[in-house]
Amino acid sequence: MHLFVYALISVGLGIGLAIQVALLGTLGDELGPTEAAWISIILTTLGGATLLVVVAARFNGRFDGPRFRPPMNRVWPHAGMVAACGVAYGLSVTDIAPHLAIPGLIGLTQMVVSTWLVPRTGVALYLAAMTAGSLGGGVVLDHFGWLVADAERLDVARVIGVLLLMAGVVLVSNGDGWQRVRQARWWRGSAPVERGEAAGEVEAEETEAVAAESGEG
Amino acid sequence: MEQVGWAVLSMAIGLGTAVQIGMMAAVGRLRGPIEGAYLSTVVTTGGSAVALLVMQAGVGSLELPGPLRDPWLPLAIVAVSTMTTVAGMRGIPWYLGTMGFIGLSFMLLAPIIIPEAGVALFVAATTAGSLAGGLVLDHRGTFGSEVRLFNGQRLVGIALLMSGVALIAA
Repeated sequence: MHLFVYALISVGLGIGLAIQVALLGTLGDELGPTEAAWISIILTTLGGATLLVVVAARFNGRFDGPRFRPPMNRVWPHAGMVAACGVAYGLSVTDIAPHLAIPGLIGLTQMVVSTWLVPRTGVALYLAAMTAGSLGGGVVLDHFGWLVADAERLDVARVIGVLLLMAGVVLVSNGDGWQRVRQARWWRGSAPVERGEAAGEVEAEETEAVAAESGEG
Repeated sequence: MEQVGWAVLSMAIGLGTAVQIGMMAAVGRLRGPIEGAYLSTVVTTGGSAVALLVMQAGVGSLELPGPLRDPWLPLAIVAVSTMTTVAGMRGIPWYLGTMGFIGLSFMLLAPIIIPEAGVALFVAATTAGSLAGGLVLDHRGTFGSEVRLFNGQRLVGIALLMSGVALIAA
């Protein structure tokens, strides 16, 4: 049941979210919530732009890396974003302990993996497993007092709560395998942009895709 | 009963979270996972920079180092984010570019709601809103996703999840 594997990955993302929220809470106590959120999000964008630069650099020659329309499929816009965000991030975290400066990377991992995973599982399963992971992770963090201000020990209610969360995730992940009645359709009006194609070929493919859809639809 | 008001607002934020995930998945189908996540974060970053500028103008003191208290760096971030979003959204339905604003409103509203209504109410209401929104989005196959019909097993699973949330958060 490979949906359950995706659910397990989402639970892992939820645990990461619990850690990220705990770190942001500690940072917010020091600096204030808006500043903490700013530091987190600027690192997420910096990491995302770096990933795109890496992806673009793999396709040297035609720079067909990121699957955007020109000019965004070239290296230079994303390198510029890396520079701008790098300056802002570097200036922001000069006085902050390293472990408090990195929650943005956790957020980036969560967003990229979820964007890959949600088309395969649907939104409800992903959210259910994320909730289970984040609350279960929060319970564990509270129990051991890691990264949080006041520890709250496990009690029977919390243990039962975690078990209910896990049961809920199992039911939701198992509950729709035999009722999918339509396969995914590409969103009308935009064909997917494949790597290695010039803009002209993409236009021709779009016209083909729309004609094929209206032919069979 | 102002608690009900906070609860409704938190449920709306949760619903927005589900919608944002659906939109990111749509961009992921059209472009790719990194590109989808990146377009969302870029808009959120631009909005955060605007929030920083507003806070500097209004509150007057920000716990960030000196160069960030001058307006030019956040303004540069806003300009670069806007250009990146506009250029990156070419060829995609335009409204998918607004997903970053939903994440931004979550980030800005959470520190306001939690001291007023408590973490438990915020977490429970946000979770309820997002799960309900997820069920509806899957049932209708919005943003070009697969249709996953709403059936009894999914509902029971969501009910178990909400009971677990209530037990942990309370």
